[in-house]
Amino acid sequence: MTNTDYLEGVLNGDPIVLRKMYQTMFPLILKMVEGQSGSEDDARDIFQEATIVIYSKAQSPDFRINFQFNTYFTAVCRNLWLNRRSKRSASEVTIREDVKLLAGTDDLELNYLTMERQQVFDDAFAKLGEDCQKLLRLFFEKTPMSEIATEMGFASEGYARRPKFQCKDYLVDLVKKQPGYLELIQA
Amino acid sequence: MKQSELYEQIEAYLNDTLSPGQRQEWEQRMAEDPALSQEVALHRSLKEDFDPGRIALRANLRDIMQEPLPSNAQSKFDKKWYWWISLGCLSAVLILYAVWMVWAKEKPASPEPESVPIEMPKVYPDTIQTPKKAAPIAKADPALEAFQ
Repeated sequence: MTNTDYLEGVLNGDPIVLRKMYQTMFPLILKMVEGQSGSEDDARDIFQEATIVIYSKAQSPDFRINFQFNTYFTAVCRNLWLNRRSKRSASEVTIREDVKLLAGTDDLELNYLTMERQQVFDDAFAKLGEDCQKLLRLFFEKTPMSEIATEMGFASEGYARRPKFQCKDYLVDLVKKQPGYLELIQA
Repeated sequence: MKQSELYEQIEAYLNDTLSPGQRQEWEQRMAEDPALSQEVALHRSLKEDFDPGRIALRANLRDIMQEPLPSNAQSKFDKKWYWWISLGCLSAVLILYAVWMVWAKEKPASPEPESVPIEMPKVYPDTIQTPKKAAPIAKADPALEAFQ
């Protein structure tokens, strides 16, 4: 499987590619994390976050990987893990230094606060009911309210505004319940 | 102002659908009210960061990562059987050793073998063979003799 296959697979959420990544790369990530006093849950979180990082980066048409995909993915995981570990231990070692030492790649340019914010939003969104998710998905995709009303089976555009507000308000409340959300939204 | 109206105004501001005057007024309010400013920041982040593809990807990953790892499961199976087989072999060796020890202790001492007279073969005079006459020594090589 080439780098392009991996990137397209991640972009399209292709289960075959994701499964292949999980089966071939997760054991390595698990070994790395467990070898540095992490848990299997840590490894799972790191694996998911690294895949999301790849997804975000792959949206840019200029994005290229200068290494084997496995190498790049492992370096991203290592970065994320070091960031998480240094947060836990309040280590004085900066991520950048660790990356240079361990990964040998210093061009990953991960924006940890953005990633954390996205995860908070995604987790909050996942807690919504199916109808709310569908409605908000249409709303955030800038679908006109008249179309949302038709799609959702509401009587009118005016009537659709109320559930849209309720769902968004619920989402906002869930985000506000997250500790440190102010820091995240101002990043 | 109702919360729903507030949301609509924030959305109008973020979607840039306010008139220049309304926009200026709105920004003035934000400057004077940090809570409003924070609310707008949160809505802006939601608007910018929301990505259905990413959310679907997370859901796919969650499902896939519930599946057992085939190679991992295989190695666990192998390890399990390796230990059982090793334990079985060790037990068998110990049992055999114990049985041998018990058998060796309980076995009666073997009696002294009775002395059996050795019968010497009879030698008859007519069967005695005289040693063959030694072969004559080959005549020495004259060249060698000259050398000596």
